[in-house]
Amino acid sequence: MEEKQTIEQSLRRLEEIVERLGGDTVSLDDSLTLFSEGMKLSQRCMKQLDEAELAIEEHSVS
Amino acid sequence: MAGGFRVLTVSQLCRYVKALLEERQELGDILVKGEITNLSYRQSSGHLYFSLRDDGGLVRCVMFSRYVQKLPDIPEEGDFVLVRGAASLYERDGAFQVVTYDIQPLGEGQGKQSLDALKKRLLSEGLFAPEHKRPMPRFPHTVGVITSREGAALRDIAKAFRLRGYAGRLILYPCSVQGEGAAASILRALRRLEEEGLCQAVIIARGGGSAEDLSAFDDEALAYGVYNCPVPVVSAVGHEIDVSILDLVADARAATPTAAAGLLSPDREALRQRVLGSQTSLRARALDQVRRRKLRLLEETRLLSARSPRQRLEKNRQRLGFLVRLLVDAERRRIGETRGRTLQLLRQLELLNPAAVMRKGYAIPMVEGRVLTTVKGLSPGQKLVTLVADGEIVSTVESWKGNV
Repeated sequence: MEEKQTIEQSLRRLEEIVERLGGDTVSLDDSLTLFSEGMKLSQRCMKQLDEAELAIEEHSVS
Repeated sequence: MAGGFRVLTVSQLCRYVKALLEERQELGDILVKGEITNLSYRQSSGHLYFSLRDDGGLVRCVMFSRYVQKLPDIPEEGDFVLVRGAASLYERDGAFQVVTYDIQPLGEGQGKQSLDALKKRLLSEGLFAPEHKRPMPRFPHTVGVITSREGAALRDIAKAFRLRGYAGRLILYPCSVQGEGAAASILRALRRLEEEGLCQAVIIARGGGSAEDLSAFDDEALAYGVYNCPVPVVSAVGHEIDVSILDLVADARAATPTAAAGLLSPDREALRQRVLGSQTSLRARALDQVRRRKLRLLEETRLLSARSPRQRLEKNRQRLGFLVRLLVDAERRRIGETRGRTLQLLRQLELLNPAAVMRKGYAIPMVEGRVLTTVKGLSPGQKLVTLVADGEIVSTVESWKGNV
């Protein structure tokens, strides 16, 4: 649970990738890498959104 | 079943306890101070019902009409008063009460007074400052809920989160929300939440319990705890009339636990749209990156080939060819001219060839081996040889005549 990226983190990274991909200075190699990372990330986000369930826990206090 | 015990009816028990209370002399005529709450004055009967409360407790009071009539003013809700009366029990409700003979005002309720003073102080210390209010996280993956394990708040919050398609983690940090030590209990839960550091926001909810006892949410230590909490706090104490200190110090205030969940759960459909939008942009931008490079590549290739040695070689070769052609043409022209002149000379020569002339009918007369060009010097009987194209004619001169 902890090591998994949260949807928020994934979305932020995704939007960062989109931003960088729109830049003038990014190399072609980098842009291809960015593209494939972005697509993978967005598919993972979708999967996370579709499959995730609300989890309820109780933590003891002192 | 009840072997050895005496079975009592409810009425018997109530009567017994009432008797116990009333026979105690030290409770027969007492002075009690407290804040008036739940005040109810019935015009029809003239009786006055109310409760007295302070930080630690609450006691019901009744004042019968004959005593009420002696009061200069009917007291009001929240008044801080001194009551004279006797401890007793109201049998119908099994409720402990003070039968009141007199009420002396002591100014504003101390509870209310001290609460107002506390609010004022916290306000001046900046605990309620709008600039300190933090925005709610847009996509919290873990939300803490501080409320009682028994109340409906957690259930309401979970239900609201599920309805909005929130797919995160709710962690309950249980506490008691009313009674002795409730504020400290809430504060302990908050500390635990901070220690664990898992939550991005926290909802503190009353979730059931008495609407009257909000004192836990008016606690100074809790106010500072919330003020210093590293993550945004939503207050869901949910009281229409009173604004608790927690409400004032929290980053956001919700009328109900359900509303609190609404403040913290992103809409799943909105998230989906955001992902889809990102996918579209990704494709478009990646394509654009490639397209821009293709264009540049084409442009560079054009420039490169324009500057290549092959191109220069080709240029030189063309120039060479041109020069050679010029040369050949000049030579050809010169040769043509020479030949023309030669032919012309030949033709002129031809014209001058006597043989050719004779073929046209001219003849050459000769006398004594010389070409005869004049009649002068001729003598009769002289031999005249006439050359024609294909032979010679021999004749004798008879006479002549000159052109005069």
